[in-house]
Amino acid sequence: MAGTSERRGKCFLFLAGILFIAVFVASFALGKYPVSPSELLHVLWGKLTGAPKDWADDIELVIFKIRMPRILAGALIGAGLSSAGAAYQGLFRNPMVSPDVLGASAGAGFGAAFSLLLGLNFAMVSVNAFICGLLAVIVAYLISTRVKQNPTLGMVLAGIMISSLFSSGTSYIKLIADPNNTLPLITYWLMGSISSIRVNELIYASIPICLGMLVLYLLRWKMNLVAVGEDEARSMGINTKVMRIIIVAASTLISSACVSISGMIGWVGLVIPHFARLAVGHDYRVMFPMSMLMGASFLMTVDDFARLLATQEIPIGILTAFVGAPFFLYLILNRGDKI
Amino acid sequence: MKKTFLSLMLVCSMVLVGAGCGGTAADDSSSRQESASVSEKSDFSTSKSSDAASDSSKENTVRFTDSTDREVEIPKEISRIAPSGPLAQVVLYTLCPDKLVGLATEMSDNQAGYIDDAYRSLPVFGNFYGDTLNMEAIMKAKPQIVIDVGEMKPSAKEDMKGVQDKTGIPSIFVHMELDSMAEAYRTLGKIVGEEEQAEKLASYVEETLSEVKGKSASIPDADKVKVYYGQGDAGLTAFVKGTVHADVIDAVGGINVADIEQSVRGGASDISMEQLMLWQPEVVLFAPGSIYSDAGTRAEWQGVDAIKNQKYYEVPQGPYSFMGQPPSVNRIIGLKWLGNLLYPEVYSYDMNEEIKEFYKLFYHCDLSDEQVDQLLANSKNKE
Repeated sequence: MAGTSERRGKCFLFLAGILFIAVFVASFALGKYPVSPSELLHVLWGKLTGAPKDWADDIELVIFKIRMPRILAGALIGAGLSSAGAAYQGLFRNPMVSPDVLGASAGAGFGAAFSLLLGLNFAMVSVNAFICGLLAVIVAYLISTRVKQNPTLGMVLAGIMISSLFSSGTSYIKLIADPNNTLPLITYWLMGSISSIRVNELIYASIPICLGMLVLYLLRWKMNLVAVGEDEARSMGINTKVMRIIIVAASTLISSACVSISGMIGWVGLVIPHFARLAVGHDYRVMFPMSMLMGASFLMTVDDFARLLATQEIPIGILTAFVGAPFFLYLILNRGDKI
Repeated sequence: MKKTFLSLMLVCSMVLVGAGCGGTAADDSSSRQESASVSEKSDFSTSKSSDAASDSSKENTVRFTDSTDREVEIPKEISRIAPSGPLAQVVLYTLCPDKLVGLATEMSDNQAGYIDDAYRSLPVFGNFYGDTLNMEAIMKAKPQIVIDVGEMKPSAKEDMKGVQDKTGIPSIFVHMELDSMAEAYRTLGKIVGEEEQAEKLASYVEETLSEVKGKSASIPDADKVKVYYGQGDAGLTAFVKGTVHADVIDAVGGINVADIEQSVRGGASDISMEQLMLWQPEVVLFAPGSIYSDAGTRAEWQGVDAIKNQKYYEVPQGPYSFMGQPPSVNRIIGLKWLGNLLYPEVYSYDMNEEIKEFYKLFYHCDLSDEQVDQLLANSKNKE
């Protein structure tokens, strides 16, 4: 019995891997600037084999300077947000939490808005978003340690409160921002977008994101135990307090780093882990990599739509909400027993 | 819960930004037609009080019909004015700086060289179309009148009536876009008792506009230059064709490549670099504070001919941008600057002289040659 479900999980994981590769490659061919699949393969092949260049400069520029950063960012942020979401959900044994439950997103959003108000450059915007995201979670965590009876509930409540404070701070910054330049910048940034992500931003952010994902990946079998419950985990000799700190730290590292380069992209961290669970069940050893792959494919796909739907760019955060919210409703109404 | 709150906040802010930057494209076209007939109706008629002795306050007011056809009793002698938004602030500063009792938006430090500290330290009331107008702050400053200037918005009539009902201070709206600018100056001049200065400004505006009309009509379609005008930290937020934020381009005879449906952000729309490469503008303009300084070195911009050919510029800024932001009278010098930049043979101005004259007349400040050079540092053809 267990054998079949494990085989099924492996099978799904393999399919998700194939899908990820397919979306990754297909995304290179999708965009406003016409690049035919044959041209794309020709250029990619030429680059790989070091063949003499016989294609137009512009085609190469579109593929490597414009689309590649977006595609990599979509994959990285999608995987990051989903893995952080999966970890939070397991940790709190609550399917309704997501990376922003502890205030990471709201904190990072505030940090970014504040930096934009001061007119700092993009590197500083990212750094400050990251610092404020971490700060929000640390404060929320410290508050939760004062709640003796139920630290998990304490953490969620503290997170909600901290989020609200930081969101209000962001609103205040919008109020005093210059309506001609800074305000649209902040507003747009908060909508979330990966359309003009730059390669060096991506490299900076990929370090904490990959580091956090690696930590969570290595801990995935322990997550199974933590997700079952405090007492069980303790009886297996796992120090739940230390585990919780490590998982929260890793997830927050991921979320803040994601928000710091892409702005607020909602729903991914909440919805994707549920899909992963529907596909492969609750075993974190399979469910965790599944979340990462699905999240990456999902965000790359949504970004393809963001750049194709209209002449203008559609902020990706808007699209993920449009897609994520109805799906989530469907899940709750029809598959509530499975969640 | 938190998500809902956040998305609500986003929606609200989008709506606000949208509202703050004027109506949608659809409103624009309809309002232009109606405003033509409305603004002519702005007229004065000293109110005839049936019994002269009964009400002395009536003696000192005139009845004024504003651009939205609202009849308002306003004082005859006006020495204290509150602007209700950034556009009105610019216009009133050019017309009667000493009568302002406050500002709609705080003036930044980079405006210090052009605007006297006395004005920069006035209290800030906020902007009505941005929902930050503080009615009590206005009342505290005791203006005799609240003036809003700008595009015709469908709600303008109700909006200004609302301000008047709340503050008890007569509040009027005067329609002002490029075409109606001279007329609006004359109307405002009458209201605030600055006819002489208003006439100077109005005739300068009229002269410039008719000059520009003639010159741009003389440019054959084949020679028209394709222009992209963008802002933001990626430079990819396009100012959309057909909005007040980009009408300087159309007026001088350029072709704004960003001919797309307007987004919620009122005149600006994010596009992708791929789209820009498809448009291939011959000239790229960056708004102040955008990425002019490193556009030349950013890899993704090297597919745009204008960048490769060194035909990209930063819009001059100080005290206000030459292209708008806010789209007020600052665009008048913008017309001369952009015309001269795109078609130097047709708009054969000596920009140094032109800028000095405009600044003296409108901003009440004498510029030195160094200041002019500084203004135009990134806005001239690269030799």
